[in-house]
Amino acid sequence: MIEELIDFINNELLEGAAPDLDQHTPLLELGILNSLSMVRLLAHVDQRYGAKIPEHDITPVHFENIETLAALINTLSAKDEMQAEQSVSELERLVKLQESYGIQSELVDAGEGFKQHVLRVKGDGPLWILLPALGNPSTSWSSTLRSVQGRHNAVALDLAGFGLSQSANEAPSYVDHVEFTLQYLATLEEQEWVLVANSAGSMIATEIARRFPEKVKALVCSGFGLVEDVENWWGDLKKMSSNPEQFLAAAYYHPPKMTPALETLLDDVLSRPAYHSFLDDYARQSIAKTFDGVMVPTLFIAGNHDQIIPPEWSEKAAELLDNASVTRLSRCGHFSASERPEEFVWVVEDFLKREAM
Amino acid sequence: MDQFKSYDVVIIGSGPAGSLCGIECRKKGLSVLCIEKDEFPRFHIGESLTGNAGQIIRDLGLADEMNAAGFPDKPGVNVIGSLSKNEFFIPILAPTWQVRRSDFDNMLKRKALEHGVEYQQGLVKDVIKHEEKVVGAIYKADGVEHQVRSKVLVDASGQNTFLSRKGIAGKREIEFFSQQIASFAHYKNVERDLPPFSTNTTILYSKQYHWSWIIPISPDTDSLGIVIPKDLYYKECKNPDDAIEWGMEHISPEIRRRFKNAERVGESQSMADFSYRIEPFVGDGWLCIGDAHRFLDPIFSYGVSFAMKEGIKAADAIKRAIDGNDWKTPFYEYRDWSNGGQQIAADLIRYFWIYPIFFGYQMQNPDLRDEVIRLLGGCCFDCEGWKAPTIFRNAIEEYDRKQMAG
Repeated sequence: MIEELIDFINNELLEGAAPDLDQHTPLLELGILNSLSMVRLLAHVDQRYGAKIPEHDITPVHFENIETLAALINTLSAKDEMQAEQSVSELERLVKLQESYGIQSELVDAGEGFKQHVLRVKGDGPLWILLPALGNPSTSWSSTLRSVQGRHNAVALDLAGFGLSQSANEAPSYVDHVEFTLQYLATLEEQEWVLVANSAGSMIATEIARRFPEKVKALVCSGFGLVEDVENWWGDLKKMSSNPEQFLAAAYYHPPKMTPALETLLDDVLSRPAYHSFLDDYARQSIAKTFDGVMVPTLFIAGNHDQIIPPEWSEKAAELLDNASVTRLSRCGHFSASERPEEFVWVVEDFLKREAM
Repeated sequence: MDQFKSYDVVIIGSGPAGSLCGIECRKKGLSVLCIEKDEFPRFHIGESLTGNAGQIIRDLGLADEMNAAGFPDKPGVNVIGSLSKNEFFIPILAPTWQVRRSDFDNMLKRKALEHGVEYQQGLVKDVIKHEEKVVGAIYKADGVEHQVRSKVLVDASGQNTFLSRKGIAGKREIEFFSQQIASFAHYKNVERDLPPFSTNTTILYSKQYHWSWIIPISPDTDSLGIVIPKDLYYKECKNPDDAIEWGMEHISPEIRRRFKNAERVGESQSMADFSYRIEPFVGDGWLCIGDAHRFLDPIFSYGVSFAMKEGIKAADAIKRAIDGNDWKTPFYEYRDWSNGGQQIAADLIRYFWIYPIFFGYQMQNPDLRDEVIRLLGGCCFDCEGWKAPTIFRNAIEEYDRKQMAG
């Protein structure tokens, strides 16, 4: 187990930067772990060894070095490590990790053969509907969910064709996504929503806001704006997607380094039919008109270093709307809810406060 | 013998601790004289306030004046780790401000005058004792020595720790965080984050006890501080400028990025031995508040917040002492309350330094997040039954046990 852990931490978490790592290397003092890699390490330990580390055991003394960590895993291991469930996917493991934080995972039958997977937290006020970027699972909202838990009601969605949602249509288009999402929203008890969306999810959210202004109390679009030259933009994006490292550099202010696990995850997303079917001809024509007739209070959150949708495009979109504003986040790229999680929630809450919600 | 002026309360020092204590004593109907050695306004370090301090300021009715003075709103604190990778943002608990202390302390002093605190510029030289009880002070003003009588003498002299130096309070004992030297200066043209976070406090750290603060104190001026261990300072730096240069080079590339076009305004300064505690800090007819008995560490901007809270709490003890002619019980209660809160703050700071990654991680733990935000907002005195302080205490005890053993 120790050799495996050394291997995982060095190759997956540290991007191969610590070849001298051994079981006694102090993990905390040298800054080998950070709060993000902690989350990945916990997921790995759960998946590989069936050891779910409870919150009260996530203390420095257990994470001092690989030896102390291995000792904890041995006392917690639910099953023999050789029998660890090999069939469980990375996504299911991430979802399980969220559940250990008290976030609920639900698979909701939305009718017509569509099962919507969501992550849900409870709190007060209108329900936040969190729509991810194309290819990002509901767990991409995990920081937001953890941060608002107990304060706001929120659900994060796996778009059809991604994550753990199940649909007969493996290659839904933008229009299909709008319909699938509406199908799910119709099953909800709560019929007052704040739509909070990232990237392509914002295009779905904007359409729903236009059609149901009485239900959508507010709209928050991040990493989204007015795309004037759709063909060129889409062509550039497709080119970039074929070189994942280039994509990460454009999407993040602090791009993560390409590790085998990240590569597997990206390959999985990029090879899914749903990734290529979203922006069909109709959707490409719709992009330019996406903000027409949107009346609900709207906030754009733009990463100041977003090279996928530059912040100026968010500002152009806001100008088209009667009741919209833009907040740019410094030192931030396309995925602001992941890259600046606490600031993201702060800005959304501040916006809702101003809109008296 | 009654030719001396006599007050219920004589306060040494009119910083935030002294002013708040004076105001609260006046609200309780006590007569108060405050003796201050410096002509105000005067420079002081400690420019960021907690949410708790913000609430005290609003309660004083000073919110409009604070905004009119151009003190920036403080939305929160960015903590940025080495290589700028481990970063988190802590939203502020209640609205608060960043301040230029010369103007802020002067504002509080004017408020104290409005409440009827009498004010005397002068240098307190000694205390007057009757048997074991402190009954007044001797101060020098305009070259002449005066005496003043007090039922209670309050030491709010800040890092001068007057009563400790006079042997009335205990000796100054070094605290954990004392092996460091802080070097600081004000700058214009510093690159800030975009609004609304442009006026955050930014804390950047590299190794344990190597860190830096950036605090926007007015629309166009930022305070920069570099805190490094003493031995490093004496080895690598001849003066505060060298230390600031060292910090820009080694603590985080983010400092250099923000200060690329910055121009320093005024002199840079250094400060050593700023972390200490004094026991006892209450006694027969006297007590100490704020820096006059304890200063932990500037990292989470607790200084002004704790000083004001202690000033308010001490006024309560003073009133009860005078009413009940009991010079012990109320002061001991104040002492225990202060020690409890300071201990929780000290644990929080040590935990941060020993386990910065866990600190960031706990910020994302829904069970602890609110508590940590509140503790960082200054609620260290009102957290009975909370989980986070116990987790921090246990982790530190475990760490200390291991250090002792190994």
